[in-house]
Amino acid sequence: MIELIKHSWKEFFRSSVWQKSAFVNFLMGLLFLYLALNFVFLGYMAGDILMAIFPGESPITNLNYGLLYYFLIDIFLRFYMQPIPVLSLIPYLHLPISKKKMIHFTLVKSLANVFNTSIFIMAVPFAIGWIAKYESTSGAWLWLLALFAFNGINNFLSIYLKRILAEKPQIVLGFGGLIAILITLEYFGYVSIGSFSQMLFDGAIYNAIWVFAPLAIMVITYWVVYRFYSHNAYLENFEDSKKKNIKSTNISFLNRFEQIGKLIEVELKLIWRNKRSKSVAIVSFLFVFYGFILYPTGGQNPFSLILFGLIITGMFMLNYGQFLISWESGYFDGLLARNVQLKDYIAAKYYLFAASVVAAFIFSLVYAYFGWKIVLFNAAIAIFNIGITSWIVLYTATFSPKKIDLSKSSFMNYQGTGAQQFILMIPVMGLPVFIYAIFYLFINETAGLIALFAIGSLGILLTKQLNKLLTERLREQRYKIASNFRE
Amino acid sequence: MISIENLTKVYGDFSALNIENLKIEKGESFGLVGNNGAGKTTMFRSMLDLIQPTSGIATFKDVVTSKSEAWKYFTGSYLDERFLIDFLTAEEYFHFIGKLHNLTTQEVDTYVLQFETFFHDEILGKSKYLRDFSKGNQKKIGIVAALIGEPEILILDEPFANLDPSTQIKLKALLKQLKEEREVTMLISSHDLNHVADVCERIVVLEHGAIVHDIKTNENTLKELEAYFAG
Repeated sequence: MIELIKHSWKEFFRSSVWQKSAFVNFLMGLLFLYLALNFVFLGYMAGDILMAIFPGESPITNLNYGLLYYFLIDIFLRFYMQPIPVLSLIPYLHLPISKKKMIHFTLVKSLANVFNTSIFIMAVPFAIGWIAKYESTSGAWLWLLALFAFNGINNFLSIYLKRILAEKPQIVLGFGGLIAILITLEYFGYVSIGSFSQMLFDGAIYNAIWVFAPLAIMVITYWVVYRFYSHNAYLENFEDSKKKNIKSTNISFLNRFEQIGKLIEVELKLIWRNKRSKSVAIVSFLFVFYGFILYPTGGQNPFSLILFGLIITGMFMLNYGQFLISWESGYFDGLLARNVQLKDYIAAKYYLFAASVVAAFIFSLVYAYFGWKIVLFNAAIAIFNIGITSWIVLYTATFSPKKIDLSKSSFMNYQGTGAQQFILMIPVMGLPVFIYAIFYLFINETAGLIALFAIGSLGILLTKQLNKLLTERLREQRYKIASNFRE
Repeated sequence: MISIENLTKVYGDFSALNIENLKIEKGESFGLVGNNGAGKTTMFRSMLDLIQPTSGIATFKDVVTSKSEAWKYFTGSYLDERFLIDFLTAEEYFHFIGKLHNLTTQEVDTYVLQFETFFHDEILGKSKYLRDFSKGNQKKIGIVAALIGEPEILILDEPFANLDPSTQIKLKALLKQLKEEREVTMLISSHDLNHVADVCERIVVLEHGAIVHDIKTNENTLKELEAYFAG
C-alpha cells in the first residue's frame, strides 16, 4: 500500500508538467497560489457579499439555499472535466496485488483532485468566519461534513456515470438541460429545490441527523462504484470500447490551393479529430460571444476596445497558435523528411490564422448594436492581427516548442507550456495598445486607429518577405524543434 | 548516388556516429546492421536532415541534404511512427503524400492498389485512424507511403520488425522487384541478419557509430555476420 502511495507521488512529480525550467514552474506556482488565495478570500467574503445582496437575511441560510444547485451543476461539469482515475490501474492489473485493494486505493485517491479541493478552500474560511462565529463550532464541523458527503457522492457518482454514459453524451446534455429547467421553474416559483437545500444544510448545522443521511448515501455510492469496477477491471473495459467508424473526408474546396491547401486540410483535421486541439478550438469560438458581456459592462474607452477587439477577433490565433508546431509534434519528423516546402508549411498556418480572424470579425459586426465605434476598432485590430500579430505568433512558435499529446483533454493540462507562452503575450497584447497610445496621445483617436490599420496593411503587403524571414528562421531551428519532440 | 563524408554526431563526450567516407552506387541495395545503440538510426536521421550532424555532410545525387530541400523529391523514407500523421485514415495519408508529389487522388488510389496483396486486406477501406492500427499495419502504411512518388532513393529503418511472417516475405519480394525494375537505391537497417543477407548486395556493420565491416554479400555472408555478433 505504501508502495502505491509512493507511485502516486512519483506519478505526480515526474509528470511532464514539471519537466520545464524552474522559472516557469515558479510562475505556475505563483499563479496557483494566487488562485487559491482568491478562493480563500471569496469564501471568507461570501457572507458580506450575500448580506449586501439580501440585506437583513442570514447569509448562511442564503448560501445553503444555493448549495444543492451547486452540487447539481458540479456533477454536470465533472462529466466533462473529471478524469477517470482507474486508468492508472492498467499497469498493475497483471501483478500480484489484490485487485480489491487496488480499486479501493484508486477510488480513495480520486478524492484528491481539483474539484474536491477547491470547494473546501472556499468552504473552510466561510465555516470559520461565519458559521463558527455566529452559530457554533460544532455546527461548522457538521456543515463541512455535509459538504464533504455531497462532494463525495458527486465524486464517486461521476466516476461511475462517466464510465457507463461515455457513449451517450446526449443523456449528459439532457441532464444539463434539466438543471436549466429546474432553475427556470424555481425562478418563477413553481418548484423549490432551494428550500429543500436550505432545510438540508441549515439542518446540518443544528442537528447531526441531517449529516448522517448524505454520509450514508456517499458510502452506498462508494460501494456501488467499487462493485462495478471490481467486476469490470479488465483491460478491454479501459480502452475505448467502440472504435467509431470514421469517414474519410476531403475538403475539395481547398484542393485548388495545391500543397498549401492540402496542408490546411490536414491541420483542420488535426483540430477536429483530436481532443485537446478540439477543445481549444471550441473555447476560442466561445470567446467570440464574449463581447455580449464585455461591451455592455466593460465601458468603451479606446484601450479596452482594443483589448476586447484583440480577444474577439484573435482568440483562435492566440489560443491555438501558442502551441503551433507543438500540435504536430507526433509527426514532425515525417513532415521534415517529406517534400513539404517550409514556405508552404508557414503559409498554410498564416492563411488559417487569417481566415479565423476574418470569420471572427464578420461575426463581431453584430456588436455594432453597442455602437459603431466598436466596428471601426475591430476592423483595425483585425487587420493588425492578420498583418502583424499572426507573424509574432508564428515567430514565437519557432522558439522551443514542446511535445504535446493530442489525445489528452485541455482542461488543467499544462503539457507543452513553456516560457514562450508567457513571452508571447507581451508583444501580442502590448504592441497594438502601445502603437495606438502613441498616436492617440500625440495626435488623436482617429490617428491611432489609422496607425493600427496602416501598420497591419503594411504587414499584409509584405506577406512574401515576412514568410521568407520565417522560413529561414524555421530552417535554423528545425533540428532543435525535432529533437524536442523526440524526447 | 549517395555519398557521406566525415559525418559525425557527438552527444556530450559520447560519439554516436563517426563515418569517414561511404559511397553508395545507384541501384545498390545497402544493408545496415549493428546492435542497439550502434548508431543506425542516428545515421539515417542525420542523412535525412532530421538531426544536425556535429560535422560532415550527406549528399544525395549531388544535393547536400542539410543545405537544400531538393532531395526530398526523389527520396522516400520511413523510420518510425513519427512519420505518420496519426489522426488521418490510411487513404487520407496516402493522398496527402501524393499531393506533395503533385499526384491526384485518383493517381494515388491506382498506385496504392498494386500493394493490395502486401496490405493483406488490413489497410484499405478500414475507416480508422492511423493511431488505431496495429504496429505492424502502421509499418506497412509507412513503407507504402515512402514508395509514393516513385523515389530513386529508399531509406527504411527496421522494416521487418513487427511484421508478420507472410508480410516479411512479401516485403522482401517487393524490395527485390523495386531494385530490378526501377533500380531504386535502397538503405535498409535490420536486426534480422537473414533478411538483410537475403535482400542486400552490400552489408555494413556499425559499432559505436563507426563502420567496422563492409561486405559484398555472398553465400558465406550470413555465417560471417553470425560469427561477428556471437563474438
